[in-house]
Amino acid sequence: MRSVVAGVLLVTGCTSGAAELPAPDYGDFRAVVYPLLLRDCGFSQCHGDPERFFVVWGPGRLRLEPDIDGPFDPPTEDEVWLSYQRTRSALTYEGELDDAPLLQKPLEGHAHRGEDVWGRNLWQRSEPSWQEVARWAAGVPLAETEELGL
Amino acid sequence: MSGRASLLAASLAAVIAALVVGVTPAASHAYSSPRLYSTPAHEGGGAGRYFTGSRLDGLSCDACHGGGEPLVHVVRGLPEFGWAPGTAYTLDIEWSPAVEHAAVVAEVSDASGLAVGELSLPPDELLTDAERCASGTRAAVAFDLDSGRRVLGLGDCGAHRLRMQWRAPTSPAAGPVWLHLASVQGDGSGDAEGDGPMLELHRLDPIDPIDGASTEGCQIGASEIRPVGLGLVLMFGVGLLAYRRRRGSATTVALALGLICASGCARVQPWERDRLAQPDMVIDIGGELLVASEHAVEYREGSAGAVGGAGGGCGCN
Repeated sequence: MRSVVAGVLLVTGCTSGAAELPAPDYGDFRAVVYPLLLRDCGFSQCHGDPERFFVVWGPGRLRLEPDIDGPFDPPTEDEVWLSYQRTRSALTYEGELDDAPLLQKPLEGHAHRGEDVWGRNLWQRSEPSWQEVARWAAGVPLAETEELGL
Repeated sequence: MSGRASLLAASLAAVIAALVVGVTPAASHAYSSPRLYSTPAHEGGGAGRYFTGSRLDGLSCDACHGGGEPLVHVVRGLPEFGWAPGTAYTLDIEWSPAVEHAAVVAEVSDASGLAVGELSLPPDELLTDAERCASGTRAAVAFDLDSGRRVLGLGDCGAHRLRMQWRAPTSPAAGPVWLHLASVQGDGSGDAEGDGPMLELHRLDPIDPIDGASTEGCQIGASEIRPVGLGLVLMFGVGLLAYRRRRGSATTVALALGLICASGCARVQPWERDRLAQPDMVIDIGGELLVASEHAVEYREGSAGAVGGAGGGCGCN
């Protein structure tokens, strides 16, 4: 029975073709969201691990082509673009945008293994970091965000 | 159901698209220099994360490093039985010189994660070889952050000792404080794999300035009136007894002497030990450095011995 359901799901998924990934602004991602994800998510034991679904590549973290790029060379276009695609993937949601894993999992009370040493999840809704990502995900143009210290 | 399926399909499409580009050999990097903690993220830095595990940071070295043996080190000087207001403590962290690659970050913060007390590094002239890089430069650096934190960092440069002085707040109302000590023993590969991270959290509680149990000590400096006054009263009483009763006078005298000695000792509160704890209060510290100046004094004054040393006043070299 399960195999039948799975087959139906795959078929309907392939035939519908109507689903689209969220496509927030790439420029804002590069300028604001990408450094933020690098800072708070891209650690090699976390989302700097290439085995993860959501991965962030960049300098000082996981390099896409370590044979070419030095550890602290500026991020390559491929790294930013690929990080953007993975971030978009983590933005798929059903219902409210806040249900997207990218916005939901770093918050308190959700399944996220990345708790800090005090047992806290990474972000809170009140934090500028989360709010900035949420605005970006909702398609709101981002202003200068120097206060994030990125 | 079709909505969920379409989401699944969209996610799969994105992942497949990403994998087309992303399946290449990769290596993760980490910081060998504490200075990178303040560097912007898009330049490979921590963008303000110092990984001390403090409440305002949360993360420690194990966010990146893993797979190796942690650094084995010794911590000396912790006020394990409580800190006393205003007292300066020298915290000394040391590990084996055989460790080739090690880095340490430290922070003292209160319950909110802000710096508490004064945390400082030794001046250059007091640094030991173990506190210097292989190049001879100072290994540890201090960072004052806009968020109100003060972090000390020692990079991977060949040093194997980190000393710091922490002066406790002037009031026990500051409450418990935490020493965060995060370290990594690296394997020298330059990436985060095979390194041993470790985080030590030392909770340090204030001691009550009235009932503190670990503050006994022989008084050298300023005294409290109450114990000395009590000693005088007792001495007077014992002397009176000795005057009126000659029998057993030896016992009385011994008792009197004991009381005299006892009255000479009084409680020296830790925050009163500031001056006593200074290096120049140590008798004959760096005696070899004083030989030249003593010789000059002896030559000029034509005398010797006033500083406890031996020698002649003949003026010859």
